[in-house]
Amino acid sequence: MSDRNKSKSRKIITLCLAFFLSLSMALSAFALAVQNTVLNPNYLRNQLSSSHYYDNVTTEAEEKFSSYASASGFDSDFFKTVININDVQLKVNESLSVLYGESDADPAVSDFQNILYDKLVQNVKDRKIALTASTNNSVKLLAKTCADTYLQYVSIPYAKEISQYFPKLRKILILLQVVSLILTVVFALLIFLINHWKHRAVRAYIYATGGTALMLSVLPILFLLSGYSGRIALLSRSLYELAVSYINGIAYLFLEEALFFAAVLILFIFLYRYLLKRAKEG
Amino acid sequence: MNRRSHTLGFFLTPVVYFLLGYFFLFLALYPFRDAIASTADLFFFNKPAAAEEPMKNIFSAAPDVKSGSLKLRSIQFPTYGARFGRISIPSAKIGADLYFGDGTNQLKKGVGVYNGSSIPGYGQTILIAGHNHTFFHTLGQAKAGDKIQIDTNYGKYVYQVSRTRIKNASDASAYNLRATKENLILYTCYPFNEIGLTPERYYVYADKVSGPEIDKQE
Repeated sequence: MSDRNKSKSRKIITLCLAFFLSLSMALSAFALAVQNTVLNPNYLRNQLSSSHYYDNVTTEAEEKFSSYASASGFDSDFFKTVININDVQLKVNESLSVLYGESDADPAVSDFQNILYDKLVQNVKDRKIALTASTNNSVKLLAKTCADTYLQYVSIPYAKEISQYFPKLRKILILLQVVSLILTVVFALLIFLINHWKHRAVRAYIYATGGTALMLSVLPILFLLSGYSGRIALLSRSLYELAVSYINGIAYLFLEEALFFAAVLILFIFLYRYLLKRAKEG
Repeated sequence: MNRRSHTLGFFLTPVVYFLLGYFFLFLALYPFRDAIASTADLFFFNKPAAAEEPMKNIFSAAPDVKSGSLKLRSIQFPTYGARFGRISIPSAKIGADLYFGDGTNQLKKGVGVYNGSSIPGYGQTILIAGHNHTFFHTLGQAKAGDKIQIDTNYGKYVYQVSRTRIKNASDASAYNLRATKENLILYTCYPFNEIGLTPERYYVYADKVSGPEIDKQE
């Protein structure tokens, strides 16, 4: 094989390796992003706070209780004092533990039910209504219905069902990350070794990091610009705002990763120019 | 020339890599395209849906249509939550706005037609709920033979009470939503003065006396 053919073959192999390098880096970044968002309880905790989930859930539960009030002969303002936002936060975090497999018990609402029952009975007595056995049963049923509703609001929907899939997903992502990182190192080394002039290897790295940055940024940008997350089919205000914030957060994380690769690309450009200059001098 | 082609390569090669990468992604997901499309349809609306739509009001006064037939397409059907009429039972001193849907917001403002039942004139069961502490507090005063008037955005209807019953809330035999003859059922929690949530319901059954029929064949 002539030197010219060898050089051409080396160039094609380098371009192919650079492509696979960009793919493996994108896969690694993808696995990292999912681990830091979907599988990270702190990410969800941050989203719960930033989407005002606790406030929204409290408001929704109060509105629901207000409807129970009008259905059961209590003043709608009565129920405005029964929910404590700190307790809501505590219960939601208990539900979050269920989601991430740290606990398998639903948030306990028996204390809430007992306190509410006592308040309801006191209200009945204050209004000088006789607390007959029948009335007592109706008040008990109201307290239980409110407690069930409260549990429904503070529980993350399908937490137990989803939690079964998280360990499997975690294993798959760790495997994906390890494999893609090994491949990244292997492809980068191969590119480095087959190119005698190191500026050519760095040029391939520039192609690869550029490709990775584009792969990681184009879909999230299109997704964010399309406003698709705003059309999520959730009618509950608290869940809707949480879901929008959650999905957008993932998209922004991909953009941050793309920015990281863009920064690496700039460093490679400086390195390339330096090595090219040295090669010319040599 | 060489330098220019390298400069061009710095821009074009990453774009080619990105296109190839997405092409591989497309190939990998292609067998699941139907599942992905169905999931997207299931999880996303055509427009943002977070802001709750205000309850519509399509009723101001009932047109003076008391009999005959109405073309289906000439009627403005109420959407869920819309106020589309008014119900009155003079013998029980009941007068309330009528909503389509018996959710929290509707029952705060009036009485509501269960959206799994029908609307007046449609020839089927109309199931209307109201709270015992508000609009249906005096429903127990309605006796057999009393008249119930429902004014809607498309006509005026009169029903006559045939009987009343007290049944358990979970007793599904209290109503037949598949009836082929138009009938009206009103219900509320029972006992009327009971504080709290009660396990029993008070039902008022009525038959249609007059009112335009909706021609479903139109």
